[in-house]
Amino acid sequence: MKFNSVLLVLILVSPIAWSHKSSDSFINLTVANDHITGRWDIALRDLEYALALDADADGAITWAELRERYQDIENYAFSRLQVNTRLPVNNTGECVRLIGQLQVDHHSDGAYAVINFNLQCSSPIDQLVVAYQLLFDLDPTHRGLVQISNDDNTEFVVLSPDNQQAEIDFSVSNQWQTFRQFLTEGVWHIWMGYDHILFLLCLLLPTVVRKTPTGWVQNDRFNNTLWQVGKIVTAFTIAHSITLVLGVLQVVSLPSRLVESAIAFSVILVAVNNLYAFFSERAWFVAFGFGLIHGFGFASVLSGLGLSTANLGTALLSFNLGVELGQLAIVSVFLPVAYYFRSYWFYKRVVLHAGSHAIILLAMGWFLQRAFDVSVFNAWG
Amino acid sequence: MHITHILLLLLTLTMTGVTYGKPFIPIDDDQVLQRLPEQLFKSTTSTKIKTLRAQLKSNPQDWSSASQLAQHYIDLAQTQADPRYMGYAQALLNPWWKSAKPPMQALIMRAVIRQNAHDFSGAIEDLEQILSVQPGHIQANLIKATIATVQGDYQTAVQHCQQLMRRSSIILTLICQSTPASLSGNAETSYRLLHQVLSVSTPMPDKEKVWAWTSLAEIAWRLGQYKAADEHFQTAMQVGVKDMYLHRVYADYLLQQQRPNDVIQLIDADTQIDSLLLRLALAEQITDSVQLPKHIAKLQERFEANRKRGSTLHQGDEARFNLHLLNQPQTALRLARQNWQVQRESTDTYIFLQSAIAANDFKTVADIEHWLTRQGTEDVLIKQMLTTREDNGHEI
Repeated sequence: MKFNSVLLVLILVSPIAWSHKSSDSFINLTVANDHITGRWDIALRDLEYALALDADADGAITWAELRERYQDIENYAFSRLQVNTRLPVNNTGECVRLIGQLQVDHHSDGAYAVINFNLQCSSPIDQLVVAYQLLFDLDPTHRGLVQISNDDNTEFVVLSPDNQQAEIDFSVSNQWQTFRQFLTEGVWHIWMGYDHILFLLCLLLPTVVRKTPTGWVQNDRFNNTLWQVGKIVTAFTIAHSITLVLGVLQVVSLPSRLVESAIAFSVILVAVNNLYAFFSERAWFVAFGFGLIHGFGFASVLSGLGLSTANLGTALLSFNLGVELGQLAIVSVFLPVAYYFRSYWFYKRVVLHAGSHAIILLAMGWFLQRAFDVSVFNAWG
Repeated sequence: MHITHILLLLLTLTMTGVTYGKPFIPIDDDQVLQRLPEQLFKSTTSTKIKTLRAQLKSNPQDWSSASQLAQHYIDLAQTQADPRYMGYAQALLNPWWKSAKPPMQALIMRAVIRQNAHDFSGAIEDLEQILSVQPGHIQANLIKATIATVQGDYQTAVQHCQQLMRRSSIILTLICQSTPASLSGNAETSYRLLHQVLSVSTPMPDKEKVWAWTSLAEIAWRLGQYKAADEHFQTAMQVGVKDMYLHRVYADYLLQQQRPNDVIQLIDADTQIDSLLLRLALAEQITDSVQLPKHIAKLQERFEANRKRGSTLHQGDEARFNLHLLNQPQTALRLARQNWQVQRESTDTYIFLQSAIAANDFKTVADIEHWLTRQGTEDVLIKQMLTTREDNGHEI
């Protein structure tokens, strides 16, 4: 007896890495006015466990075996799914199911029965109540993954034994929430990521002045400055937007060490330019070139925030928009201030000259740390 | 990345989101749509399961059939690494858990089910309930030791292993404590003791043998005794029990030893088991196999499916997938960090450390290093990772 119990334990204790896909069914509901078109994918393995489809017990479910049991499957499934509309006075409006059709589809873990169905509701659908109990009595780890969409919105809910019912309100949108969240992240990132700001500011600092053989002189025409700033900011924006998208979609992926080091290097380069002006007229070109690198930096931040394919489009757009807004805010504060002070000696001496030296030192520290893993700012803390 | 690779990734990215595949109506009545797992229709277990299901159907109150059936499902869940079976067991046991005084074995099984759902605190609650009545309960102590080891609480693990000595064999005690002891400053001693015990051939159940030799191999590996590790892994493989954990760590070992072809031989190309598929893909990356894009796409699809259902059970593997196969250190670090909050087995620590190094997160690297030093963990792999930080290569 003792021997047996130990055996049992050994079967139990070693850690399991769950490796098969868990049991899920997928419901897709498309709402149009008072009508719902539905598709429900249920794994054949799950139907086998619940209804024993394999009639000849040969370990293989054939199309004939599945087709012959369709009525049972439909009855079983729809006794465990209720879709109704909710009316303003809080009573539910009945939705009637029309004849369905059976198909088959392959998912990554095997074949699924596909039940196509239609629901006709008694009134136009504003709020939908979906109640789901499939397989919960046989396998509590089963989940119902329900996607509900109308012309404007797509909602996605996961139903479980602890959360068997979902109410979907089509009058409010959750895309808006995603949009706002990633917009804020975008603004925040450009403000907190000092390297991006410094890169941009270093490029903008000399736009209010110009280099002559006798030294820096002030730019007399605001339009000229504005034109230069516009070119730089636009080039930077276009470039980093391109690589942000490519990076997040994983079309191109670069080692983060390379990206981060190159960003630091770009800051050194533009700060050095402020002292020696070797590409002053081509600043927009530099903004574009290194903008491509900065975009990969943005991409790794955005990927780190956790994206799902459902919110990918909105997230990409709003994060990028947030970055541009944050950038625009910085430029619109910088430009009038710099333009106003451009003729003062300390703009050229302190801001442009000493400032650029300081930035070079700082960015070199970043560069060493990122490229060679040398701890410069005691980051090991 | 090859261009096909990129196209496939883009394709899966768009496919796994909102759209489904294209459903069809089969033309042929005899077309086989789904093959059922062998264990369910033509093994001795399947006959037993059928009989027990029938018995339970006629008498739902019968604890003996219910517990036996649940036990069969838990065994299947482990050998097949298939979570559906755990769900079946859970459903069977549900009525007894709700009773005022659940049978002891029902609590043990619930602890196992909870442990495997990573609900460690729930599992510990059940185990403590058992241990408060029977402090020497073998299963309860073993499971508690396992959980403590997984969570990196090696002292508690060793304590529970030593409880086994009172009611069980010294061998079991030794096997149980070898892993936690070896990770907390006693690697050499643990190795020597366990090796000695295993060199004397005492009759041992097969599962226990696999467990013992796997543990020994892992300790040797951490000590840098690669040849010995390989021999021990081989011994464990030769026992003939299909053990998912052993396959997983042996594949990791072969990868780290730069033996991708042996990994490809070890793992069936059509495997339904994601953690093995991941290791296969990592090997294929080294050999530059034409199969790689297909396997990456499949893994991508699986991880996406898990994420959709809100499952966090695969974050360690997903982190590895992101770091080595997609080259996304930030995403990898986020996943590895979340995973490490829950479990801290060696592989979990490796991927956390590697992601942190790849993402240049020096603070996190230092935190992990500090934690390992405090535990007294001896591990050549970790040493290598820390000394050759620029090498974000493909080992483990």
